[in-house]
Amino acid sequence: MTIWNRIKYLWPARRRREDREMREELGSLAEIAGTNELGNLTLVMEDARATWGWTWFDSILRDVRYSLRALGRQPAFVAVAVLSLALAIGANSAIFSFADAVLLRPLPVKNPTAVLDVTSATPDDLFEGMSFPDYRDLRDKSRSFSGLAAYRLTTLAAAADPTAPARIQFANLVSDNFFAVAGVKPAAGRVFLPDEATGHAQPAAMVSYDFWQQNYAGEPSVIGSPLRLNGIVFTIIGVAPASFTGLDRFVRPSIFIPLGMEQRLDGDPMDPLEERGRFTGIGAG
Amino acid sequence: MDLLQGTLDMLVLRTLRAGSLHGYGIAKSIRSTSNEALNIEFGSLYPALKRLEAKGWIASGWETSEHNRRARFYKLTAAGRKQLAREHSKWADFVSAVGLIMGTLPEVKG
Repeated sequence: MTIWNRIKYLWPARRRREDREMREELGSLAEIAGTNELGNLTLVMEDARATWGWTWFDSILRDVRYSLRALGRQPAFVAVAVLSLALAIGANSAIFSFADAVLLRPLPVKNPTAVLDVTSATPDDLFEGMSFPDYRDLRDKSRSFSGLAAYRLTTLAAAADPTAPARIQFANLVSDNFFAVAGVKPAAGRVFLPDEATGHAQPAAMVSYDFWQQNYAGEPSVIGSPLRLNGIVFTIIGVAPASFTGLDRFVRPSIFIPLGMEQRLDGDPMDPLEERGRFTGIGAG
Repeated sequence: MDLLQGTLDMLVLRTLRAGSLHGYGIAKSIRSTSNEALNIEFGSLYPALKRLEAKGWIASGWETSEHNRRARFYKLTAAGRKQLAREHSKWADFVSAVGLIMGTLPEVKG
């Protein structure tokens, strides 16, 4: 029998018709011959159906139907089983996402194997971070690294349009050499200049690729347009490439601004750059 | 007497060459033509009919039987006629080859 002919026997309407015709035929033969002469007609029909070649499929179908009926009789058991499967799958994918970020995916910088996290430690806090003056000393005096950049994660109220309500965004306060040390080239515009590092400079900001796509539809005119952050109007000077999602594993900053702007953004009476505050330094060897 | 494996299809095709018959008629015809030696179970014959029909060697339709009863009658198709010729010559070769080896029936000494 050709494959096509066999497939036709899978069609339910076709099966019903064949079944009905067989039943009629066997009924008429039983009248002619007498029932005893023909033997077990149910078995005969069963054997005739087997010539269609789908017995294995029929028995799988019957098994599935039987299991569904059996499950329907025990809804509590099914609920517990489904719930524990859901929890297990959920926990597994959560663990995998974590392992993927921490172990599998490299840092989105030019040379991820050469990046070191530089931090200061106290007996109370092993991961205290580093103050800006310490960072500045290390950057200027150390010869162990090809460069030493500093950044700090923060949140800002950002509004692309002066009339729009501001939204909270993750941002990185970065040293002016941040993108150069990471080896990241902007997708549009430029990175920070050394004289944009201080709080007295014209406020300049870079945005992430995603932020650019979502708020400016990827238009090149974003360069030079205003961005209001905590009430201060910044000028967008560049866009980070799509591959660069920041140096934190789990947080993707939308906005990058110079460390020097922190005092003005927070309205702090003292410049945190002169404090023994907390920053994280990164070095590229 | 039991049928040799694979000969049922050939017997059905050969029986239908004489004319169309219903399923029970085929069984009866094989039995009477073989002098009651071959008694084919209807349970084996009917699936064979369905198989031959699916292969296109026989075709069926409702007709009125000799006792004015309606039944499904089977008849040989052109493809079935060719198949019968093939099986018939294969069968003849087989019988003559086995005959060469077996020779005549030995006398049984009492």
